[in-house]
Amino acid sequence: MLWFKKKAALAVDETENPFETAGNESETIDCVEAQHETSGTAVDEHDLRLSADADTAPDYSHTDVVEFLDRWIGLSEIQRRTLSALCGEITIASDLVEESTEDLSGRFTNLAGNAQRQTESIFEIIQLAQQVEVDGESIRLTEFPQILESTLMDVVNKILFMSKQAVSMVYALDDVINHVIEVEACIDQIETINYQTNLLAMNAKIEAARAGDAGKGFGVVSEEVRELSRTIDRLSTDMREQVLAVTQGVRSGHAELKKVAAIDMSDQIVAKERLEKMMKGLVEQNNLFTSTLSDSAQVAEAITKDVSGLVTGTQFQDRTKQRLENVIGTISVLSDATDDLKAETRETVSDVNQDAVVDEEWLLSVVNRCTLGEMRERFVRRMLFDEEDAIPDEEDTGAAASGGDVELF
Amino acid sequence: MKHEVNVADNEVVVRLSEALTFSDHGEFRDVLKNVISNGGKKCVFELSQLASVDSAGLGMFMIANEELQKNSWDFALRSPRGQVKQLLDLAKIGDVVVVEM
Repeated sequence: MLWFKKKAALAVDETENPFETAGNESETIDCVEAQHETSGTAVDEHDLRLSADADTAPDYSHTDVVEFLDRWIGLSEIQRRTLSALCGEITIASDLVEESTEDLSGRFTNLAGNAQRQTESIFEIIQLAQQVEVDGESIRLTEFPQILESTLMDVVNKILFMSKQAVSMVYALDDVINHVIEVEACIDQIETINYQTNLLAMNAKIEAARAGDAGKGFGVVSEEVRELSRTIDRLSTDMREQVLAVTQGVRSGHAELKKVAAIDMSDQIVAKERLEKMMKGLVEQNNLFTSTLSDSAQVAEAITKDVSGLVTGTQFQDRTKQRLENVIGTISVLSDATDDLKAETRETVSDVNQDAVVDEEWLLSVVNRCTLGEMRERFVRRMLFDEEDAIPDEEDTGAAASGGDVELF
Repeated sequence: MKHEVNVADNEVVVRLSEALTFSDHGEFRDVLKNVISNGGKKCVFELSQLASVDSAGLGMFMIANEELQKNSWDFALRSPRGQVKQLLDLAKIGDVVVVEM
């Protein structure tokens, strides 16, 4: 900048080519060195040679320089707009990450809650599977085989007791029958004696008749004896009938007792073995069921833990947002520096265009390289018209994404 | 039921074979009476040849145990097999009567 000022001051008029204006070499070199000292850059020998050879320097006119500066200002404007657009995109991306992270975080929290509830339900199922409520009493499943065996044993013992008592009763009835047989024998004897008595009474009556009047009394006695014999005969018949009835009753009881006592318990043996196997299978299955549920509960707990970790992990979003804000800040500083330089240029070289001239053709070639449809639209507005865009909503994002190259997962 | 009685060293061994059912109660009682009347210290029912027994047969064993103990005898069931052993296990006869394998 100092070089131009010095040369401009040496020029006769505006049309003079500062490069053709006579000036001593050392003065020129001083100017170049001063220029670099101001800008803080190192002195390039190329610059010194050009400056030293001012008389043979390229043919730049003031107009060329102004035009060149206009182009630089135009580029600067493009850069400013581009940086501004990029800041906008970064903000959009940052907000999108923030929203999505919040949404994800919320969903993961729900997931963790559901996994926790699932774990609790599983443990409840495990507890319920271990026992059964019967008449208000809680009985553990592992006690079932024992209870069943105890119940079965009770039944078997009762059958055994009944059989034993039945056999004892049969023995008692056998004794009764023996006694009844003896009674029958006695009755036989009575009948035999009675028969003989009757015969004797008949003989006595015959003899009494032969004796005439003297035998009348004897005849009466013999008749009475015969009557007695007939009575005894009737009695013995009754006794025989009663004994027969007793015998039949005893035999009937015998038969009934046989039904009670003679139980083939082979079926009970098979039933008991089968019940034992079933109970064993039931208990084993229950243990397997409990084990599987425990594994499932452990997995659910692991899921809860992992999901909680995920929720913690989404905190990266805060750090990312801070970094993106720093990037935006830095870009803004660059953009401001560009604006400052632009303003200074206009101030220093009054001939430059006060409005930045934007190379639209070049600009569109940059925009066409953008692949995201909705981003392209914002870029066009920003670059061509320097319009700020609002952050697109979900519908816009979705509609644009369907036409763009966004990878969805 | 078929039976065979052997006496050796104060031990009366009654070998039962075929099946012991309700219909054998009379014969069983007679065997028991003979054993007790002969005198001795121990009575063993050898069951290795006994194919089957019903609940009445188990009842008879219980009655034999009571009668012999009443007369100060020792009583045991020896070498039950198959269905007989299963039934003795099912009824836990071993809790009341000595069962020798």
